[in-house]
Amino acid sequence: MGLPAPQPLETIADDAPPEPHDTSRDTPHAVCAAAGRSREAAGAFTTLIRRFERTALAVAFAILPDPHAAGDVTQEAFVRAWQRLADLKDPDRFGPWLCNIVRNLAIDRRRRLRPGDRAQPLYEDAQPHAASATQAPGDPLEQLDRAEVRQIITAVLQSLDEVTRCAVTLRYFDSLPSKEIGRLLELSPAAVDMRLSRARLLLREKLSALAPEGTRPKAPDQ
Amino acid sequence: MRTWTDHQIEDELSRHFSARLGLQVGRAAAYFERSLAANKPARNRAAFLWTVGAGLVTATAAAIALAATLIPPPAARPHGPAVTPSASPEVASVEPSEVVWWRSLDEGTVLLDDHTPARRVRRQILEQVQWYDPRRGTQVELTVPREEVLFVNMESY
Repeated sequence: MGLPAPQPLETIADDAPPEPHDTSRDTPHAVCAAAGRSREAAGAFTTLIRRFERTALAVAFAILPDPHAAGDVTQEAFVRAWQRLADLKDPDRFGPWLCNIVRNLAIDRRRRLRPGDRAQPLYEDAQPHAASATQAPGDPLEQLDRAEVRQIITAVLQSLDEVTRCAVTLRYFDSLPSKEIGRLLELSPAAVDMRLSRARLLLREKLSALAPEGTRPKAPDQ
Repeated sequence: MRTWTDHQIEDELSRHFSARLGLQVGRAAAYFERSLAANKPARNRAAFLWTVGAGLVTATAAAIALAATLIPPPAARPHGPAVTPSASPEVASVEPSEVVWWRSLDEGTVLLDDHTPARRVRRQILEQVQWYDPRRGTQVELTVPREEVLFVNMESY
């Protein structure tokens, strides 16, 4: 089984996000071919990191509650992968191999969390999102609405099982097609689609309970 | 009740993950390059230690072999009174060794213990030592094979 060749958008599942994802991940071969030529191998591996970083982040974030911890695990996983590159027999399996490294490191990290930290829910949304933190202050009601949506998404993600959460993260953060997600998670594309569909359905139910737009009371000064 | 389309839900999810994880993108490549730079002296040191270690081992082996040939074997001690050795034994004059043949074999790239690449070169040397043994009154010529394994660091950064 090889890494998917570049494929046109039409071949990606219908529920794929609109932005195309570059799946031309042939650089594992470049790294292995350059093994021993240190400069070339490191250069190819850096390219590989850029290609697979979002995938690794998605896998780590499905396990760890904190984005920074997910970032820590991801960067450590790539260094670990570089050190163990000789163990990779089939360059086509770089993605699943890397995901296993990320998953193991993330599980180790989660295990090391203090009991107090473990009691915190996954996807704790204590801090404002980076995007909203940098936004100019806008309509307070709209901000409140967005905060509610965020909380619901966080709660829904937290309620999902780990594999489904990972599939959702890979799809909506890394924009991967179902076939590639299935390869990484050892699921069939149909199983991936089913999990994604369930997650969206659950999210729709929760979000539908929100007050309709325009029905909130206006602020006094508006 | 608010109606949410699939497209809206997918947009919200994409926005959610981008907001949470967006700042983490780019860290791994920078960290990898930093860790490579930090490990560079360690790689050099490892290759240097390998080279020195291999050289020391072969030099010690050669010295032991040489000493074994220079020191005469203990003579069978006859029963009876001890024999007093000669008061002024002549010292054997050892000439400096001479490399009479050598070759280097490039054995290609290998990974050291810390998974850094290095080139392994096997050097085979024949050294000849000559000296005069005054006790036997003979000129002795000894050819010692020596082998060194060198790990040459692949400098790339």
